[in-house]
Amino acid sequence: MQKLPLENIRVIDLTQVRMGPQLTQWLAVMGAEVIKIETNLRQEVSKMQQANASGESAQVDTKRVGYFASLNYGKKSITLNMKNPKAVEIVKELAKVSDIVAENFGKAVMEHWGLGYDDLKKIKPDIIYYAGSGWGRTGPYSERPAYSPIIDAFTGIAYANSFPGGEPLGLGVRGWNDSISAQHGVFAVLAALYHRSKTHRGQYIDLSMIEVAMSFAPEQTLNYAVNEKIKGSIGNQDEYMAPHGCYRCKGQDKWVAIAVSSDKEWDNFCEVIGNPLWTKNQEFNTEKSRHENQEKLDKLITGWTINYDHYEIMQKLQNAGVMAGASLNVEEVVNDPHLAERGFFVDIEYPDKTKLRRTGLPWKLSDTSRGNYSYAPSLGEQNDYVFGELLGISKNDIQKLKGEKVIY
Amino acid sequence: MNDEALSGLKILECSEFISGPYCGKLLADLGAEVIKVEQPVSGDRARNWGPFPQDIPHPEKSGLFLYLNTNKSGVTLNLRSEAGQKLFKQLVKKTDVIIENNPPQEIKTLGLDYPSLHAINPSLVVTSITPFGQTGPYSDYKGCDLINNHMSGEAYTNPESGVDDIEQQPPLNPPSHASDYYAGLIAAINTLSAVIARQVSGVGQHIDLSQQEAMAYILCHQFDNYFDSGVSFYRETSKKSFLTSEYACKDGFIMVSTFTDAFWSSLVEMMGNPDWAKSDVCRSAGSRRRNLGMIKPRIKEWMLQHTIAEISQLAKASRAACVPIQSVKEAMDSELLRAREFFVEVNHPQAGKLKFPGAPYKLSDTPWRIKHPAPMIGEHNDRVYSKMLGYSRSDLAKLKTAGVI
Repeated sequence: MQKLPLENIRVIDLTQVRMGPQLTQWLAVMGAEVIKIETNLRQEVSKMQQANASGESAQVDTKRVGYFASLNYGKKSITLNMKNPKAVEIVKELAKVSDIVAENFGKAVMEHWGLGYDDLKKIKPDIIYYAGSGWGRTGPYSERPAYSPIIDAFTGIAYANSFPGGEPLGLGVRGWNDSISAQHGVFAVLAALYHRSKTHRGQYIDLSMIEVAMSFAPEQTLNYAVNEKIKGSIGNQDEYMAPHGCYRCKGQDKWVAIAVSSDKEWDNFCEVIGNPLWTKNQEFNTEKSRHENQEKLDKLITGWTINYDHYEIMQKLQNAGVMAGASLNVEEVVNDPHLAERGFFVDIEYPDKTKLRRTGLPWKLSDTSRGNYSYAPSLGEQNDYVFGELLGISKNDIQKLKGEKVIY
Repeated sequence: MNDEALSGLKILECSEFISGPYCGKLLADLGAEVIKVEQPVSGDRARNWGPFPQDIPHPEKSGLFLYLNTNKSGVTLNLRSEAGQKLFKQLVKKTDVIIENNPPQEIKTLGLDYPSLHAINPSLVVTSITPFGQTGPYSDYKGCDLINNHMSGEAYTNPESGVDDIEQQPPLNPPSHASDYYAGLIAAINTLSAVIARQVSGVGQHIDLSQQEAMAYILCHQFDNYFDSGVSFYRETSKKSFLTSEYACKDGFIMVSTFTDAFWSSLVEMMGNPDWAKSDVCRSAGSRRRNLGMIKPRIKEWMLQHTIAEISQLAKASRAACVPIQSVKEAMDSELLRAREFFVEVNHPQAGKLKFPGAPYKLSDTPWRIKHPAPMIGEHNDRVYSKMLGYSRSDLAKLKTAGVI
C-alpha cells in the first residue's frame, strides 16, 4: 500500500459554509493535516445552518450530526480570536510550517488582518493560497452575496431546468455550485502542489463559483456562441435518442429511467416488453421516427412499466443490454445493494467507540487505503497539539493566551 | 520547462464523448501533454454532436468536441487490431497516465485493463470512468447521463421545490450532461492525487470511478440528514420546507433566497418594510419555514408588481439574495463576465473563431490558457508515431492502408 498522497502537507483552513470546507475536506481525506481555525466569538455558518434546517436554534452536537459533521471529518480544530493582533501573529507562525492556506471570505478579510497572499508569501515564499468566492475577488460583483441557487439563476442553468415547455425551476441539489466549486478547487490546489514539487514555487488561486459554473455547463453557452440559440429544457428527453425518459412504475411515486440508443437496443427492448403489436407501427420504425413520435411512444411504454417494480424493470432491461435505471430516492440510494457492496458510505468512529455513518468521497485509489475519515473535531479540540507541539508555545503561555481570549 | 502547472505530465486519453475528455481537458489546460487516441475515420462520437455552425453537421466543427479537447494532440489508432495493439503498447511505455471510459466488458479486448497496462508500465496511473464502476452487481450495466442522474438520486430530488402533481411530473434529469462533466472532474482529482502519490512511491495505481457514486456524492447532505433523522426527500412534501425558490415577476422569473437572517432582512428592506414582515412568525428561519404558507403568497404578490429591472436595482441597493433567472445570453453579455475576461476566443482551422467558457480558476504563477484548438482527426499521427516512436513515413502509410491509424 502506498502512503496517502498528501501525507506531508499541512493546510491552514479559514473556510466556512460549504464551498471552502468541502475543498479542505478532500485534502484531509487524502492525508493532509488540515487545521481549521474557528472561534468562540461566533458559530461557523454550517452549524447555524444546521440549526436553521432543524427549524430550531436549539444546541446540537455538531460534532456528531448535520452539515458540520459531514463537511469537516478528517480535520483538526483550533480556536483563535482574530480580532486580537496576537492571534494574527500565531497564524503567521503557523504559516511558516504550512503548505496551503485556504479561505473563502469572499472579500479582503485576510488582507485586513495582514494575512493576505502578499503578506504570507514574505513569510513562506512557496505558500499556496486559495481564495474562494461567489463572484470572483475582482470585478463589479465582488461584494455581492453568493448562494448556490442565486448562481444557478445567473448562469442560465435554472432557466434550462424545467419540464419541457414549463417554467424554470431551481436545481434539485442544494449547494450544487458549492460542490462543483469545491472540487474544481481541489483540482487546482493539487495542480499547484505538483507545480511546487517541481519548481519550489507557490501561487495564488482565485476561484469563483460563477466561473466554475459557466465552464462546467457549456452546452447552453456553446449553443449561444455558435448559433446564437438559447436552448430550452428538454427534461428527461434527449436530442437524438427515443425512448429516452422516466416512466411511472408500480408503487408510490416509483419511476424508472430508460434510454434506447440504437435499432438493436430497440429490438431488445421490444423483446423484453413482450413484442406488443404497437411496437411494429411504422411510426416507431427508426430512431428518427421514434424521436418524432416520442410523446405517443412514452404513453405506450408507461402502459407496460406501470405494472412492474422499478428495480425489476431495470434488471430485465439491463440483462437484455438496454440502458435502464431505477429513479432512486434518498432512502433507496442509502440502501442500494450495489453502493453498499462498493462501500460508498463510511462509518466514522469516535473516541467512545460510537460510529457515525456519512457519505464518503468518490476518491478511491487501488493501492492506497480508504483515506483519513477521522471524526469532525469539536471546537478547539487540537489547541494543545497545534499551539504546544507544533508551534512550541509553553503550557504557561498557552494558559495565558487563553486567559487573554487570544486562544478563544 | 515549468511555465505551466502540469508541464511534463504525459497523458494518453482513450476515451470519448464528455466524461473522459473533460478530465483530459482539465489536465491539458493546465499544461499536461495529452495525446487523444481516436478510432480511425469516425473518431470521438462527440464529433457527431452539435452545436455545429449553421446547424450543418461536420466532424471538425462540433462545438462540444472543440470545447472538450482544447490543448490536446490527436492521433488515430485502431485498438482492435493486432498492429494497433503493438503501437499502443509502445505509447503506454512512454506515458504517465491513461484516461479511459470504455465499458468494463470491453477493456480486455482493447488492452485497456489495468493488469495488462501495469505489466507494460508499472508506474502508470490508469483512470477508468464507467457508469457504475468495475465491481459490484451493476458493474456490467450500461448507463448514460439520464441513467446516472436517476440512479444517484439526483433526478429524484430535482427540482428541489418538488412538484404539484407527482403522477404527471416525473423525477427530472438536470440540464447539460451534469453527470458526465462531474465524473470527468472527479476523475481529474483522483488522477492528480495518484500522480502525486507516485512521486514518492514510484508506482502507479488504478482509479475505479463510478459515475453513480460521483453524482450521489453531491447529495451528501440529503443522505447524511437521513442517517441523522431518518427523513428522506419526497417530492410531494418538499414544497413545504423550501426557503429559496423561484417567483414570477411582471416580466420574467426571479430566484429569491431567504435562507439566512441577513438574506431575509435585506429582502424585507427591498420590499419596503411591509407590516406583515414585522410579525413574530418571520423572526427566525425555523419559524419562517413553518409559516411559508403565509409568507410565500406575500412575496409573490410583491414580485408580480415589479419588473426584472426594478427588482435588480432594488436588490443591489439592499444586498438582497435575489436575482433574475436569466438565459445564457444575459450571462454571456454580463458586465461581470466581461470585466473578469472570462470568455476566450479560439480559432480553429476549419470551424473558425468560436467563443468558449474560459478559466474556472485563476492561478497567479501558472495561468490557465488555451495554446491550441482541439485536434483534427489524426492531426498529430506523424508527430507522435514518427518523432516519438520512430516509425518511418512508409511504415505509417502501410498502417494507414491497413486501417490501423
